[in-house]
Amino acid sequence: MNRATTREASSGSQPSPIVTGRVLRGRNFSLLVQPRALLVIGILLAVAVLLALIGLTQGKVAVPLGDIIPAIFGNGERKHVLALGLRMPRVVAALTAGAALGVSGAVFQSVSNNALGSPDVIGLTTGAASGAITQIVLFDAGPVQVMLAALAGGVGTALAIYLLSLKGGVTGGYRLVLIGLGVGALLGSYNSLLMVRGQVEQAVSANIWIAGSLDGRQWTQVLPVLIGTIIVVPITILLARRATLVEMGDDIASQLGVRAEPTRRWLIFCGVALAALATAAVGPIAFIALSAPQIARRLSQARGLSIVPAALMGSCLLLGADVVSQAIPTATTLPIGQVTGLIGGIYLAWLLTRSKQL
Amino acid sequence: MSAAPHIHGQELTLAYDQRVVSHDLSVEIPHGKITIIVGPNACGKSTLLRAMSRLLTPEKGVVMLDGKAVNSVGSKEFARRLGLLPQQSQAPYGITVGDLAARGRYPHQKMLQQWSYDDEAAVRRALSACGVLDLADRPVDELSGGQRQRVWISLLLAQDPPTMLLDEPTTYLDIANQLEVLELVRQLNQDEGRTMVLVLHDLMLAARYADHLIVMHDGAIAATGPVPEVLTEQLLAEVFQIRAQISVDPLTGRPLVVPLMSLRHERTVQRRSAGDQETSGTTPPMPS
Repeated sequence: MNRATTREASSGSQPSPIVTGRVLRGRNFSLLVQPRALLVIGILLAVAVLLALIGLTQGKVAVPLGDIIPAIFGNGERKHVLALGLRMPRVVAALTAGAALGVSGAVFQSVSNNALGSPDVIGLTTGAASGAITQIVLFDAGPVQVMLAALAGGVGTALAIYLLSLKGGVTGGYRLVLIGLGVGALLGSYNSLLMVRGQVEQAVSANIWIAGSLDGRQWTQVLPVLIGTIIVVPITILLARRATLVEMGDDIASQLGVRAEPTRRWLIFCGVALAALATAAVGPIAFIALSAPQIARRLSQARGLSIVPAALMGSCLLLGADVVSQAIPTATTLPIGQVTGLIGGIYLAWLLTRSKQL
Repeated sequence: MSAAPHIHGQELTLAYDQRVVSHDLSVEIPHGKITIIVGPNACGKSTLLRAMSRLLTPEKGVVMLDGKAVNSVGSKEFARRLGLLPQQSQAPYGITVGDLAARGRYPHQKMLQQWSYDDEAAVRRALSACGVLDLADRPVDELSGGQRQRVWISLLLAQDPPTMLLDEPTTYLDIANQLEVLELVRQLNQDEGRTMVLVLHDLMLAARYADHLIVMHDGAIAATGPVPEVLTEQLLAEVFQIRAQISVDPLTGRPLVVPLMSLRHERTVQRRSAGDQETSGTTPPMPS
């Protein structure tokens, strides 16, 4: 957005503020809003709704677009109602897991002050996978146990990375990213080892899990990530302003009245919870966490941590990848994790060659 | 600026983890003056500044501001009373001058009061005082070093605390920019009555701008007081290991420091020539 033109455009009633954005004033409040970010949020919301509707029409039983809304409320043809009952959890899983991953990525990129600092790069998703695969291969466990193990794996890995990266009671920056990479590599080898050593059947189901999938999601698997996202994302929104100041350095943030390390610890807690919940629900989906916040940030030209665009972008990317992979006529459905991995790999290469900040 | 800002600490022990930087340090910063802290590298200047701005909690002792322990006030409340410009801060990539200065308003803002008329006025005043109001729309990373430093000072000014601590604000700046920053400091002190505390490396500039000088050495305060009383040739030899001549600046009437020779260097040269003479005896004696 060209600032010069917006400044002229807004010179009518109220003089434009010295900061970027518009000010909304009332008796007891004054809010600084970024019109561009609001536009991006609006568009992403519309895209998400559209993708959700398309997602609900997809499948063996074709449900016409017009019949979706009544069918959600149990009206219309019985087969439509049944089909939607199966598809709803899948679409909700994609929307919430995508949002959770997007926010988790935004949070970790802010904490590490690095575009590469996302939960899939710093080993959190690998850790969650370690938990899940251990359950599948060694204990032949059911979906709920696998989900719990994935959660525990993600949280345990995060704790290990945090403690290893502490130096003088402070973490963040390159240390966090590099130690995360190391821990992730270690856990990746452990995962491969389990798959090779395990029984063939378990190894196959572990392989399916590790590819990441939205197929056959049930409400029991989707509800934890749904509830978690609804609780945790607002906390990150409350922390966002402080996080933005901490990005400038601990000293300047502290002298402005922001306690840096506690802020960071809360952010890491939120990011870990979101990444672990998402991975537990849909498996290790690659690159959403890495790319969604960066794309959202470039579109909205936001500075600092902006949560809502990252969340919506994550939802759109994951649901979009699912819709596309279902629409491609192949004998078997493509595992969603690999589709996002393909797209994300290209994005990552582009990011690395273009970035001025790395 | 109602209450008198006056910082003092008694018998402070300042340490990072286990490494003690200062032991039994007592310090007083007078109200409404420009205090400049000088000393050789790694003598604990920045550490003292960090303790005064409560970025570092003393192992022993309490730093007081206006007769109240610095840790007894809320963090935003403290930020409204005392501001620190750290040695190095990272301007977020692509941020504009106005947006960076605006971040100084954080301690004055609330969740639902993100941009009051006071905020707008304070940031405009700060940018204008630092001579960067015209650059408000420009990205910070496009600016020169001198301009960038003035933008950071404008953040502190927008924060508007009556007491300001600046850690080496002139490092990496050319001489014109150094003078510009120090003139701004003097202006903030004389026109607005703010208490300014600076860490500086340049003794000549310190002698020129300080009302009150603190000379630190090995984590302790070697001397403190008005510049003419503190700055002596003997002190410079002891603390900085330099031979210097101090005269009176005919233009300003203030002490003028002319550094002549590093005593450390002189000793090495003496040692070397002494050693050479012992072994070969061929080296001509150094001119004295």
